[in-house]
Amino acid sequence: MLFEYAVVAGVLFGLFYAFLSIGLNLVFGVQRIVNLAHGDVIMIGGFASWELYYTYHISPLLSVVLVIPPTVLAGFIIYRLIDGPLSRAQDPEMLSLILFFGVSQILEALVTIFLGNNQRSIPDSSLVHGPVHFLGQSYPGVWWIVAGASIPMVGLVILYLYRTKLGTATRAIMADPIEAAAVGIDVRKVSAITFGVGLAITASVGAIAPFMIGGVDPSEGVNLTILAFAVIVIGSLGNIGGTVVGGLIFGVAFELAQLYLPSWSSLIPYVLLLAVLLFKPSGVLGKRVRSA
Amino acid sequence: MSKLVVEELSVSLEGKRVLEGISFEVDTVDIVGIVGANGAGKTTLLNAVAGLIQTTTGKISLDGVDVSQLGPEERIRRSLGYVPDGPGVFRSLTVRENLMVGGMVRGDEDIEMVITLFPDLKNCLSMLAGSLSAYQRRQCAFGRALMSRPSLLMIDELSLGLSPISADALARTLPDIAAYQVGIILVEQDIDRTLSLVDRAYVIEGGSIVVDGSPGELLSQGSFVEKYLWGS
Amino acid sequence: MRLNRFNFKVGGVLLASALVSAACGSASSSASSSSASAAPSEITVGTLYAGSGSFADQSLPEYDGLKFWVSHENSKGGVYVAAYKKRIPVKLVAYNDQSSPATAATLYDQLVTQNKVNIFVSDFGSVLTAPAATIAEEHHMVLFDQSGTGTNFFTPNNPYIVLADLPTSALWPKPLVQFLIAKKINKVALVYGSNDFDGSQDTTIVNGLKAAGITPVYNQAIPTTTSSYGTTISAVAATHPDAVIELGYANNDIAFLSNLASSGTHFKMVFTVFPGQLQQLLEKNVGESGLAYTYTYAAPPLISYNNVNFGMGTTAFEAAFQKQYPGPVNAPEIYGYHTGLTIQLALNHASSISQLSLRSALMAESGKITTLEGLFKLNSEGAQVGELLPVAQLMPTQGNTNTAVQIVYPSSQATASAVYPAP
Repeated sequence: MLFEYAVVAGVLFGLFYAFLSIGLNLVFGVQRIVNLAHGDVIMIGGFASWELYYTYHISPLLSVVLVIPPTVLAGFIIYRLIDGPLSRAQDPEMLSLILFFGVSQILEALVTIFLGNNQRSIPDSSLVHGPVHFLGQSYPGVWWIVAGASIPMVGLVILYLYRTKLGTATRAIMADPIEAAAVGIDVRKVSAITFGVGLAITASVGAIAPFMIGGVDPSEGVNLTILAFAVIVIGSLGNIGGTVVGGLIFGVAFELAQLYLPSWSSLIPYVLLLAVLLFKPSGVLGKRVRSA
Repeated sequence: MSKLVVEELSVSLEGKRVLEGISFEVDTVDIVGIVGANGAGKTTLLNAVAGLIQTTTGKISLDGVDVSQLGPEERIRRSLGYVPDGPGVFRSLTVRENLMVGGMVRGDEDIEMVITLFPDLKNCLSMLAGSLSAYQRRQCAFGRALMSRPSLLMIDELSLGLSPISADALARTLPDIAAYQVGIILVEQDIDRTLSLVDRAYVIEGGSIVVDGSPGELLSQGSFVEKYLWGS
Repeated sequence: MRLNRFNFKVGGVLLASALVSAACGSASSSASSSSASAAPSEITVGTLYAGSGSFADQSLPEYDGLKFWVSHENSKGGVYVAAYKKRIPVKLVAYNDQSSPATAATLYDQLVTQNKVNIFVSDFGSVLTAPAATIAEEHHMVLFDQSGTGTNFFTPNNPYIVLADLPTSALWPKPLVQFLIAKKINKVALVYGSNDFDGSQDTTIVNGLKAAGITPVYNQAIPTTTSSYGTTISAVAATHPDAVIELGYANNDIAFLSNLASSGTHFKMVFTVFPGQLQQLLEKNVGESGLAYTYTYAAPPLISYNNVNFGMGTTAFEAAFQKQYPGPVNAPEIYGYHTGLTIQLALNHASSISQLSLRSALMAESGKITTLEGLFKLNSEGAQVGELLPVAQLMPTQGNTNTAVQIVYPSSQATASAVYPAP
């Protein structure tokens, strides 16, 4: 009974975690940008959703879509600003790490200044009334709504990558940016679009994240970034499909730990991360391919 | 006017002069070889022509247009094809997707010409390029570059990772490719094989062209034979 | 294999950046104090506050309360210092620890060794008080512990700590345990945060119930950082308890109560710690229906004391405080003010401003003083034992979005009788 409950809860959370992490993987995959401000983008999506709900009575589910266009645009512009310095850098990964660490701190500080420190939450009733019964047990309705919203959103990202020309070009850049340039792909433009899409999908999950993580507050970013990193490393860095697997493994492991080893449950992300790094460094779905 | 004209090209990488005063021309009917020792600057030259690295001085023209300041995508669009010295394929994409990506620059997804040249690829179109044999992978790399319908194809290391038999088999497709009115620039370690394929060859040493001529002319020069055929 | 190396690099930098962020606490003001033997020109009070992070909701109002006391005393020319027989202005030195115990440890050390403050005050709660307790003992500074009520701070051999507010958390659940026993509630489930504050409450409850022959049907520690309780709630429900007690910090209580409301699970009795101290915050985040009929500790200002012989009474304080900080007064604001009162009491009576004479002055006054938190009484270890926290229940009000907090136990203080089981 309880085991089944934890597994179902883990799958629901796992889908949400996949949605939560996929943008980070997309942005990393394209130009090896380590977006340490990932969690802060989620946080901003959360505040946007909160504001839209309380000021304009817009359902957070609609906000999931509404936050996308402005973030794509913002991401496109930000990429154009950072592309130069990054492409000239000796070690672009390290530079991006430092750059986005700064962005993360600034975002957190700005939100704190303008919106204050308090945690805010959106009532569950804005999405669904009452629990959902499944296999004889009752689950919070919001879990199903959020997991249900995560499937099409993650699916859209995967469709975009695997069924559109732009997506195929994006994957070509992920595989090898220099060769992509050698076949005539406009790497700068496609990367800028992908960066925008990656940020947008991240802000988008922020709009419903408050229902799963107990609210939204300015300092939540760091923990969410670490969580998302754990998920994409478990799944395999740069492998978008792996993110779904990583999310599900993470979600189920976490819920089982809450059931059987509650005091240790907060260690789960790190234990899984270390285990993957030590025993299967390329991630659960990563293939060992020779690099020459 | 030749398809490609390179005049007084110099390139520095990380403050070090790698190419110095390179000038040559290639037309769509030529098969040209570039030979030289490891580190002589052959790959750098192709990368500079393709626009993957910045040139320091000099001029590169395609069909009489100066492309020195244009990005690689603009040069590929001007009918330049490139099989680079890397994997040559996107491993995580299928063969069909590799070819599609190759054709994107012209908005052309017609793979008929590639299948005609490399019939082996027909049966593995939906396989991941990373799972192909080395020979198939090289064919896919050629196919990918030909998808943009270049009138000049630059090949870095034809025999990369191939057994001598596979390398010979691949080399036999060069005349077929040339038959589509495609000029070829071939960079190759194996000088014997290069000289058997090309109309003309340039020898690079220390970043400069030291000698050039037809295979016959080169082979009649004792110092060339001594250095590149009998040497290490 | 480039990717693998890279994974390690990312991991390393994540750790490094965590350390960097831990090290960049920012000072809101700084001052140096002179340690002259003549009357000092000012009394420096050093403390930390959590400007961001999970304790900000509780720490910032507490800091406001202390600032209010400072400005109130300074408006009279300073606090009266018996050792010099005159009023001396108070200078508050405060740094932002961002809710991080590691940052707090560094900044506490700075307050003691660099700023050389006269009075050393810890940040809110046991998690952020723990590093201060160690540093205070090491440097022989008396720690004015505002609300770090975890019992293990107080030991017979350590004179360098005084609990300014609230009884130690081990005492908090005493009325709750009596309530459970009186109501004959035998199947009790406990979920508590793995920290000193929640752990010591849990120990008291478990021992109290055991004395009455009751063993909890569920008793589990979970990480203080937990933000989702769904699986825990279902595990608790599987034991069919008659009462569920969740001991956490405000963030935990919010997440627990929200998850409980949306899970559709119903318990006959639910008890959480913070609705009685941060009612507005909980109402805003959990909603009235999520709080209805749940139980909590009634802390000031829910219990008010106007018949006081030191400082302002509850009503007077609320009026004065709201002039500077509009809005309803909450418990941490009172704690902060009361910390100020405790400092004042020490300075009013101590024969010198040396640390140990400050503490013995407080010990001498213990039991004689009534403030807006009730009887001020310290045990020999420096812990508050004057008042216990009554059990309260949040009753829905008709046509109003607020809940009314009614004290239901002990009966001497009760304003309503408990609704059990909850409808």
